[in-house]
Amino acid sequence: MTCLAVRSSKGQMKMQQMAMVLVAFVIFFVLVGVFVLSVKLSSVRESAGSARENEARALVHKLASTPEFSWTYEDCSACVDLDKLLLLKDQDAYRDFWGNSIGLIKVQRLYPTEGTEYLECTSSNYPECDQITIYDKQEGYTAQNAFVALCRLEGEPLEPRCQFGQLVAGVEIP
Amino acid sequence: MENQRGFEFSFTWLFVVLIGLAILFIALYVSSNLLETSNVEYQTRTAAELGALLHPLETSLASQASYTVALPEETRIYNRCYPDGAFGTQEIRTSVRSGLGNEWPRAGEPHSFSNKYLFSSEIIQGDKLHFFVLPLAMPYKVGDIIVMYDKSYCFVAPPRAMEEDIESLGMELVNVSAVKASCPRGSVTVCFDGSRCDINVQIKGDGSSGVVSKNRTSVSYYGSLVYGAIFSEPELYDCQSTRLRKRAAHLAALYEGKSSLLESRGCSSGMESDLRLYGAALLDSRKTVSDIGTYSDSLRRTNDLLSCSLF
Repeated sequence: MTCLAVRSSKGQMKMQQMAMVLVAFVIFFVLVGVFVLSVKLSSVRESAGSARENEARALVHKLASTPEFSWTYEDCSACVDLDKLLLLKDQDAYRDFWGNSIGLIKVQRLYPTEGTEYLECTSSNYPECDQITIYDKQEGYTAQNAFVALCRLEGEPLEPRCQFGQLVAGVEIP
Repeated sequence: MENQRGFEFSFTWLFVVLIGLAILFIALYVSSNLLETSNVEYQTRTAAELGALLHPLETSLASQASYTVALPEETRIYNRCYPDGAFGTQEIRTSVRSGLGNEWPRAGEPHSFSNKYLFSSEIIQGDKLHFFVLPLAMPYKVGDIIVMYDKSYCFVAPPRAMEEDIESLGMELVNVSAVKASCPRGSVTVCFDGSRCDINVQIKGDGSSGVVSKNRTSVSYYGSLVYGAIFSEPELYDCQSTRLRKRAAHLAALYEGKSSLLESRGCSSGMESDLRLYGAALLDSRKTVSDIGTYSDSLRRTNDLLSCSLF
């Protein structure tokens, strides 16, 4: 009986040791897995971020020639129609038109400006203003810009007048 | 005693084997899931990169262009179009041939656009993609028709304007032939003179509109949409032309607003009601693309006579 009890406790000891080793193994593999996953996730975030940045860069350079922005009075690929942009500002249908990751689209007059800060255009102060924000999600984004001519018909008789400005497109940070 | 020793020994091993199997199963399950995830990630990234590539393909005001994109591996591109919503959605998914396991792995997550119009077969496959881009004016520029193709086409006796387009664009894999018999073998034949080809184009009126018949289905076109009708499947063409009509209707509202703004500055175009009617016609599914073309021609003529033209 004594001999059997000793063997049984030895066996239990072995099993406990084995269980501890296995638990340690599992914890080790879980930690390695978590580490690999976090590295992978950060690389996916990085590549998603760079893809979005490329998209914003490509978009900002092409935006001026899209039908909603383009100035068609003369053949000018870097000119935008301010009248159309003012009307575009209030159109909810265009909210996700430029892409889900696009968080900001605006045009700013760089010269001449009305003051030290960019004055937002509304139907009441237009054209004595500096900025038309088409879309702003007001969340974290990185911005890309392109210089453009901001054009409209004005004067008596109506003639095309263009001013120096920039188009800004912001892409959300993933 | 011997029996007891044997029992103790086998239980320990049984325990080890069971736990070992459990660990092996978990390891295999996790690694196969990781492989699957990384595959989907790769396919999704390829679709996103291809999507970013479509931005520079778009033209400026009136230009047109053709491109060939070489891919590092043979790729399948799934082109889907959904007409619902304010502008509808263009969706592309890719599947890159891996050389391991499944010949064509599951396509990645879709990359969607509201402002692109890709005309092609539902599945395009190859390590070289051929594109050409043409602006669509109805009568103002509505968008760019991006055509993607992977087959060889033979245009039999096309109209002079189309022949000039093909020449100036330098479209790869697209040949022009005087008679069907001299078309390269295996190419998709496109006829304009009523003879029986894979695709038949029936031109109407001044040549800017007509009907394209393909796979026993006919679709009507206007202007550069003829290329969309030739190179894409009829269902895809219908969806993309519906999306283009929706965008044209939004633009009609924009030009209507611009007309009011110019009127307040002393230059009345008097086109507000015409543009409103045109916008309604664009959204009316009973009107064919050719019908819209007739309205569009009339609007263009009115706009051309204005001292302060709208578009």
